[in-house]
Amino acid sequence: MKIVSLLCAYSAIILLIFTTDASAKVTPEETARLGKDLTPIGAEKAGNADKTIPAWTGGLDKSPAGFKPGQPYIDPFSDDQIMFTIDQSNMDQHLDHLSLGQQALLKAYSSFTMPIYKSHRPVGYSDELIKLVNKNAVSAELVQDGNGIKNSGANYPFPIAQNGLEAIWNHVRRYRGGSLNRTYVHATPTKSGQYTLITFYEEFSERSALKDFAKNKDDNVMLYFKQAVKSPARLAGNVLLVHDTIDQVKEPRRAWIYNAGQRRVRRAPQVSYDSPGTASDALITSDNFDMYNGAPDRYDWKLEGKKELYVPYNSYKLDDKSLKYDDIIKPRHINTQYSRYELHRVYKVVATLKQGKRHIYQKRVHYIDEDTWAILASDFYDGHGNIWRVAEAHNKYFYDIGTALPTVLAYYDLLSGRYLVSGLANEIKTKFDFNQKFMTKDFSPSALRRAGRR
Amino acid sequence: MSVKCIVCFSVSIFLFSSNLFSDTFPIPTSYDYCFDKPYYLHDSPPHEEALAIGECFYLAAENILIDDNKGSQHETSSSRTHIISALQYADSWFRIAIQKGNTVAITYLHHTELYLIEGQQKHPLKNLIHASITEDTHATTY
Repeated sequence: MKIVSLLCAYSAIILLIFTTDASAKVTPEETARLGKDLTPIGAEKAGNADKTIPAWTGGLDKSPAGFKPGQPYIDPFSDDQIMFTIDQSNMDQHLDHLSLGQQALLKAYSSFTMPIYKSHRPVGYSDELIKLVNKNAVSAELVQDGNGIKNSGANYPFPIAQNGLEAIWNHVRRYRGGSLNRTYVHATPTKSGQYTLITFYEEFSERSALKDFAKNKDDNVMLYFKQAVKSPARLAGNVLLVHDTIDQVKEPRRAWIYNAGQRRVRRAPQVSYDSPGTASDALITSDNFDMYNGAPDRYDWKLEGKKELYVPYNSYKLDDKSLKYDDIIKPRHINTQYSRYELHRVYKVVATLKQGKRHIYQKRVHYIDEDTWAILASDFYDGHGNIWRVAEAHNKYFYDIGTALPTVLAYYDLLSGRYLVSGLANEIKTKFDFNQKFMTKDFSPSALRRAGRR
Repeated sequence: MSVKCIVCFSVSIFLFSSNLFSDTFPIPTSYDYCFDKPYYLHDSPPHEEALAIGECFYLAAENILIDDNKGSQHETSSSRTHIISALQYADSWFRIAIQKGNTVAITYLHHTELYLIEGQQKHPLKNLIHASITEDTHATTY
């Protein structure tokens, strides 16, 4: 009898521990750290002990001299020199600060190098955003086993993330300037480096940034996204429309495709999870777009703490208008001469496929920047436990807007020896326009046909 | 004569450009139809359907390989990428079928492993045809 009582008590304690952990909410004491020893979105303000990561002091307080909004961004750190370069010959000295994916890239390609520069933390946050995040910190909650969130404003629902799901939701709902349109190219070079450029035009808006935003209208939608292929002629006119939902169990993502050849709009539920990405030559999945997007329900997400890692950062050089695409797109990988890596603290989030669920990536490891909650590097494992693909997001900070977005995304397929590079705009006059505000009707299925006119 | 020249010139331009095009342009994958299988959108269909979808990807990979061998285009980048990704999709479906108790999928999974793990290093693009599942294999495994 005594043993039974003890077992009951033990079970109750275990249950309490797990229940507490699963539903842990941030205490008022922890929340009070935001803006004190933590930055407004939850990063450590202090630098590291080695002084190789600086303290956050509010970010860049002004744009570089000579910068005019709408014009190409000036590299605020152009005077920095390369401190050292990591390559196949010396990678063993830096293993602590390299992801397994980066190590695999260095091992696979002797030409792949990582030029390391001094670290900077330029990202700043508007007062409006800080207020929103403070509010989220005490109110936001995961729902439906983490497949949705509630009581949250548009960005950074969980500044003090307690688990992997909260961290990944912060990436999905990070601040991207509210709304934007952009034109860029992507390519899938062959092993020998031959490629055809595909030009995309995209429009994006958070629901709260719509001109006709109404609090209770379409309130399960978090963002609207439209992507039109502009060239080459063979693909031009195909358009994708996505309404991404907050609670993806209650209502899965809505997606439509306009096929220019058939002149038809049809639903596209396949634009999710591991279906091949648009014009990707089978090198990425739909949920690889923007490093990670979509419903998290197929994986168990684990936050494995923080790590100091060399990650692509302040990548202004890759976006330089004096470069041609040929300068960047090379066989096997992008021309790393124009990359910039810095040591930063990242959250390590490991997603493992749930029993009974399917995806071509059995495991994915994401490294999330503490200052932006953007995924900067990812490793993708196949069903056999081998690293199959590695992705890197070369972000830069848009100092006039207050957001950091990828200027180049590179997805490396180690099995085929090929890669997909996306986001290039060196030969395009204007890449991003954050000033365009949209109406709901701009993201309606009927708007697809208009967008598809060649 | 001039008409003949124009025709020859046009044909050569077409052949040249299409050959160039096929190597570098991201064409739709040769297994797109596998995504149209009725059960594809269910991430956990019954084991027979999971196996059928896996087979679809597996056979698509095999067809790409056979086409390549016929056309002597061994190791062209696009084909290799498509074979690998088709087999990875097949692999994921076989795994789900096995979890649900399908034994045929075990044999298939073994063959995708042969290609994806060993074939990469030892016998690039060769193993798959040799590993092809025959009707007999079906019969004995069932």
